[in-house]
Amino acid sequence: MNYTFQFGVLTEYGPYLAGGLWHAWWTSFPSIIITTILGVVLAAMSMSRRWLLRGASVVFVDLFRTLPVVVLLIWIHYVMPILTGVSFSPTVSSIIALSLNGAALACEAFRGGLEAIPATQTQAAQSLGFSRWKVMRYITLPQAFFATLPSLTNVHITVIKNVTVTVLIAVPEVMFRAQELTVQFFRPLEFYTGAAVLYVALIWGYALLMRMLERLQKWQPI
Amino acid sequence: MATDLMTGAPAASAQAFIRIRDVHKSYGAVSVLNGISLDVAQGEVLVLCGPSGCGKSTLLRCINGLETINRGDICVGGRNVETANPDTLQRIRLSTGFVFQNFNLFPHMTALENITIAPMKILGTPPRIATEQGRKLLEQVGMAEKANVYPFQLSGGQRQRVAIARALAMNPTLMLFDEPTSALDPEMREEVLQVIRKVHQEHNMTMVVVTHEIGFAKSVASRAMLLDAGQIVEEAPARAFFENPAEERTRRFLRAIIND
Ligand SMILES: Nc1ncnc2c1ncn2[C@@H]1O[C@H](COP(=O)(O)OP(=O)(O)OP(=O)(O)O)[C@@H](O)[C@H]1O
Ligand SMILES: [Mg+2]
Repeated sequence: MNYTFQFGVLTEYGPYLAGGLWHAWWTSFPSIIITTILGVVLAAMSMSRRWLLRGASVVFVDLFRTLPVVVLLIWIHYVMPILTGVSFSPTVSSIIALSLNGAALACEAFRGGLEAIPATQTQAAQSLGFSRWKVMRYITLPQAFFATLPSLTNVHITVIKNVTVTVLIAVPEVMFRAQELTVQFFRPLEFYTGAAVLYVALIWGYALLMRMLERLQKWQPI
Repeated sequence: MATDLMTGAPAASAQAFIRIRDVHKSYGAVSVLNGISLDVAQGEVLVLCGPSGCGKSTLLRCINGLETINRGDICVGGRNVETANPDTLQRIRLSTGFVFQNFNLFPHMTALENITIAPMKILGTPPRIATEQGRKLLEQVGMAEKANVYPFQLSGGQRQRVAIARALAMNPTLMLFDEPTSALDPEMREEVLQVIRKVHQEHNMTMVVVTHEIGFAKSVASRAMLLDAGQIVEEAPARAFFENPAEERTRRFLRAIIND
């Protein structure tokens, strides 16, 4: 290996590269929010008594869990406009693709959490007069939330990592900028290492935040 | 209430609060209840005994509409549980308190919140009033100083007393107790039984109690019955049932629980 490191280029272009984090965050953050909300709704649907809701949830989860994110993203950004005439900015297309994929994963996580709540909790609530919906709203979901947090964090991390595929439709996040700079300066090692460090930092920071959220649980299961 | 179609049914008292006729219930191929008929009058306390797995819990869950039955009728307060629409079923459940063997407190809520959640979210009681009532109930069961403690921080006996208060918060006219003390250490049993006695005395509430506490049963119950293999073996006034049972099966069962 006779590559001469010149991390010096990073002092000049590092800030530009790091600026990509801003775009990475504003693509992943809305996706994480939508992923979570849609995941809860899908999990609730999957436990409904109406077969239509259950079926819709199963189809959604199976479809978007199996569809590769790259295919989904390209399809939404380039194919859907041809079919429907509706087109989105690269960032919006990315948020849609990442959310659909993430929601399918989050649904599974929430379902696991909900199913782990003993049936006796539901019986106790029903015997007090809670409807099925209120049992979920006040009894099972709040308990499942904390049980689901660790696996939900994993889903969110997957969503953040998936932001890197948006390089394909030119969302100016870190990977896109690393590519841009490499083409310009022929320093792949420096810029892609920089990109790696930035993403790791972003995800560590996020995981730390979620760990703090876990600490908010004041109760213990019995 | 007028028609008593089923055969072999006990003489229906006019004011029967719970009226059960020829109830059959099976889980798949396992039949658990095989033709149960019984009446419980308003203000009466009925004690249910029987060996493990004989269907006591299942019967209580059926009375509360938590299980569907395969055959027969269950009426509570004149309303048929089986054919009830969701609204009617809710009304039946609102008038019935259920206390479980394993307490089933909501672990993510404090003792006080466990008691106030149902009045607030189901009856629409304003939080301030629900809290006030909740504190009063906690005081009644001797748990006033544990209002803001989570269930995992409570002993078994304390958990069960909170669970009783939670059921009472909905002002039920009927209470179903499913072995309320069997998961407790002997020292804690009396504190829970004392609370149940008090509830009975103060509210003159109709109660169905699954228990093997003979002393308690004799002092509180008006009637007792033995369930075995999903059928009623013997039914008698409580004192007679425990002191002078008619059936050999009952004598054997009572000997077994006394030797426990
Ligand atoms: N949800 C269920 N699915 C299948 N079988 C069940 C279910 N619930 C109860 N059973 C079976 O029904 C029978 C009666 O159960 P049940 O809980 O009513 O008994 P029990 O008289 O309350 O016993 P114990 O004193 O042990 O509480 C048992 O054989 C049990 O295995
Ligand atoms: Mg039982």
